[in-house]
Amino acid sequence: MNVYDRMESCIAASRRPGRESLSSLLKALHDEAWEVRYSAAVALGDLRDPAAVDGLLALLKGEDAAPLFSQPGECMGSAGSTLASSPDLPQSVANETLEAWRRRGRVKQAACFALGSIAKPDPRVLEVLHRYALDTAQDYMVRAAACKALGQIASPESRAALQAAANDEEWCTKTEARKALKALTG
Amino acid sequence: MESSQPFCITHPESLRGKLARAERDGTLMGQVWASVRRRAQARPEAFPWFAPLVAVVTQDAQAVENARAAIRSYVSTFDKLGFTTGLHFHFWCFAFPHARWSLYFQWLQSLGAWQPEEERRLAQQIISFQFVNFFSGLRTKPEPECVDNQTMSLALSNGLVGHLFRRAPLGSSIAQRMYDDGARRLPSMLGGMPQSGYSGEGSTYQDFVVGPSVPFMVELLERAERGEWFARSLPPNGGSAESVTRMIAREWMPGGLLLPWDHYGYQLPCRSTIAYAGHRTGDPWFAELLENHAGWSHDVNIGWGSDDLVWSLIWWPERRGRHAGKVFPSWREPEIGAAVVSDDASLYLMQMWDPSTPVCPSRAHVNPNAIILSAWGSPLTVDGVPSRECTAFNFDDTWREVGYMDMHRRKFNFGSGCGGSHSVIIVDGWEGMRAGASYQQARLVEFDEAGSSVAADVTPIYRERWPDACRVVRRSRLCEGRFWLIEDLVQFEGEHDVAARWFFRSDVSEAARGFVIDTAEGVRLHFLPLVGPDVKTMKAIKGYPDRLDGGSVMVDFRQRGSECRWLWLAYPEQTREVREDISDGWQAMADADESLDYPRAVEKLRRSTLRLPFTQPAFMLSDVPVTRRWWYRRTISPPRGRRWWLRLPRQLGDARLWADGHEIDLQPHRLRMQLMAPHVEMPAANGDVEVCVSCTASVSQLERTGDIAQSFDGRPAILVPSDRCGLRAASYRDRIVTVETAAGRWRVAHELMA
Repeated sequence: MNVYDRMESCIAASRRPGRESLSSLLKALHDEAWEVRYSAAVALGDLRDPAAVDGLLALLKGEDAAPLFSQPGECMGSAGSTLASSPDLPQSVANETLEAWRRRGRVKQAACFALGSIAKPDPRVLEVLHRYALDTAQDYMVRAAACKALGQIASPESRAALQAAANDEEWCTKTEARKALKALTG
Repeated sequence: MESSQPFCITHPESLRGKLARAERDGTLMGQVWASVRRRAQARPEAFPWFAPLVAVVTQDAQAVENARAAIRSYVSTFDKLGFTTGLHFHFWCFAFPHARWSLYFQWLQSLGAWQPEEERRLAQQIISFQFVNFFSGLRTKPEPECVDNQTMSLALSNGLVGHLFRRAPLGSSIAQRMYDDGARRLPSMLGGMPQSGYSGEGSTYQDFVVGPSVPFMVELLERAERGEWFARSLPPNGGSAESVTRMIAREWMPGGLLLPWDHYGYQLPCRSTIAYAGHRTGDPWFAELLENHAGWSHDVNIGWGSDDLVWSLIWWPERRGRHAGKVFPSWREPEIGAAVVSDDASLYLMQMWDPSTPVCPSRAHVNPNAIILSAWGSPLTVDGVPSRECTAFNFDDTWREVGYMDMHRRKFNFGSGCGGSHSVIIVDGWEGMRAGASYQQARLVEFDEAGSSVAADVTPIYRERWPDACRVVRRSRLCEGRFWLIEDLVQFEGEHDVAARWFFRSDVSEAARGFVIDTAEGVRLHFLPLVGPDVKTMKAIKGYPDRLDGGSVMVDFRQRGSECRWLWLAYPEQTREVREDISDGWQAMADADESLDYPRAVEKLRRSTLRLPFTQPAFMLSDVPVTRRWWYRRTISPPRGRRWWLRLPRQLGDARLWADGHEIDLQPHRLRMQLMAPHVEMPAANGDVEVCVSCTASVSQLERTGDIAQSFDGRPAILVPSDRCGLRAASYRDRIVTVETAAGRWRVAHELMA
């Protein structure tokens, strides 16, 4: 199967709850293509099976270890254009780094959402989500997703992290943090 | 995949018939369609956004191949886009055009234009790109709190791309998943809009993103979820698609510019949303706007794509009956503002009190009771954003440092969104005026369309800072369809320094009382206090706004007290009049390799048999080469020994002008020409004058200036000074305003606000 077909299989599996689907999705978390890992994380969020927590945490650990390349300057690209963009990519940057740049935030976000959907107040889950919620080096799509997930888990232990995140300068993050705080207090 | 009919074109045969009739009958719609088809066929690589429509309508084999090539080219950009900061941090900008390219892919699918293997491969690439970039993007936006142009773009793209690919033959689970999230949020995007239909993000975002997304949202919901979604008022705020489109129509000012409301400022409007409103409502008002008040030469970037003309043609209603009412009626929306317009639409006043963003206003500016004035299509006041070089609004208390998408820290000043950069009341010199929290900042006090008056109370936003604020009210009246009275009343418990701040077009001169401004379009405004002190400071603001004249004059009228009041007279007059319309009969000539100089060009022009109106690029009017540079020549008869002006079309690119062989410098007009028809003062003439113009017009959708691809339109004319100018006297006594001018004398009863 090509990458697309493996992505499709992940999302299709999420519509067939059961041991077989869970097993295939956990396996897909290790796929060589990040698009498939991302799809698997989205699907596991829809499946909401607590047995997926270990796999998702491992996925995040791998993502944390991935290098992140930031371009020296902006290259906006032209939205909707039929002309190719010309991003400034130093030749010395390894392919692995470029792929991490290409997927930046997406896999982590999907995993955070999945952990939120599963809503298991596992200390390891809380530790990761608290860290993401407060780490301004994370993309805001990750910080916001972590806050939302913490609201779904609604553990009292998250109060301090969410209170701090509620002052994040980025709107999506602070909005999710404030909602999550409300969820904590019922 | 939904493939039987091109999505959003329910009856392709009807569309083909409509456009064929329009072209046969030579209507404006027919001219626009012919120009689109001509450009797409002549330079398919430069007009990719036109290619799918031309393929669907003509079903011509080459047109279909051009459309296939455009879609292949678009999909081939995905790989490198993955490394751009734009896709990562401004993903919504890429989502909306992606949805339309997906739709165009489906159009070709409905024509059977794809081989199965290529169809499958392209579909997979389109779905993947959507899923990894814009599905994640939509999930970033908090639900239901986030209702703005960005979330609309994301919800729409997920809903639409999901809908197109979720069914057989592809039956994509990914598409279904995207559809579920996208379509779920669409009703709240419409219903989350205020009932006024104004998003609060500024007329540019309103017109270029929010409005253009509405038709697609409605069409998708009606196809996928059934029922009627255009007029329906939806929760949570009672917004509707129809109210958005009507507000967009209201943002059109007489003269063809958008209101410079909130962020960005004066702009040329898009047309497709108006066409859709006409298509849905059957209200001939919209067709009237399209056919008699819109420009059709330029290409507007709607939803970050260049297909405004495509969707205009699809939805443009064939006219059924005349519009009986005013084209530019007065209107009011209690939560946001009102416009008072003279019966002949020559005088236009808009007063705004829409909510501003607390703490750090960026898009929704602090403009309590700010006023926009325009006369005979010439803006008199300015609003919008400063150029990057302009530091006039870098107030001390409006600096902010933010992390820029986790890449850099960036310090910026948001003063241009605050009170001090608008035509409002400034108290105790606080130019960074803004709200610190959310609350109702203003309320409508009075609107009398018959009496042409509007008043709003904006006290709350002042009272937050000054608890002793009792009343801050502004009332505006259009009198006799000829001038305005504007009254400010500021009441506090204690004494304060109060300034009435105004931003006017940049050519301002002091008068015995008040001042006079002269616009480049020959409109003069006499502005003076009839009540209240004439103590003022005037300051040129270079770079604000970043368009039009590229500058303005800030005038502060000042007084100190616990009650401060002004009654202003704003008397506009036309200082020029049209002596002769010279639109027709120009000898035209293409300069394909852009190599001609004036002497060679004029010699060739004199022999040219191609005669065209100098109103739009030649290739939009006639079946001539789609060429960037053109030359025009005509002999005209200006008045002998008098001042005169030559009015040229707006948006002439790289224009040069010669009169009897002498070049006239157009540099002072270059920036303003993007929005306004230039009036070029010409040397005194003693007889006929040979006029020659060299200019360019955009021949590519891949090159643009901001949101606009320039292409000129307008009606050239000879202008001469008007004889009936001059304000002789004005006064307010015994509750009567008296205005004496060269054009007449008026006495108007006026009760000052109690």
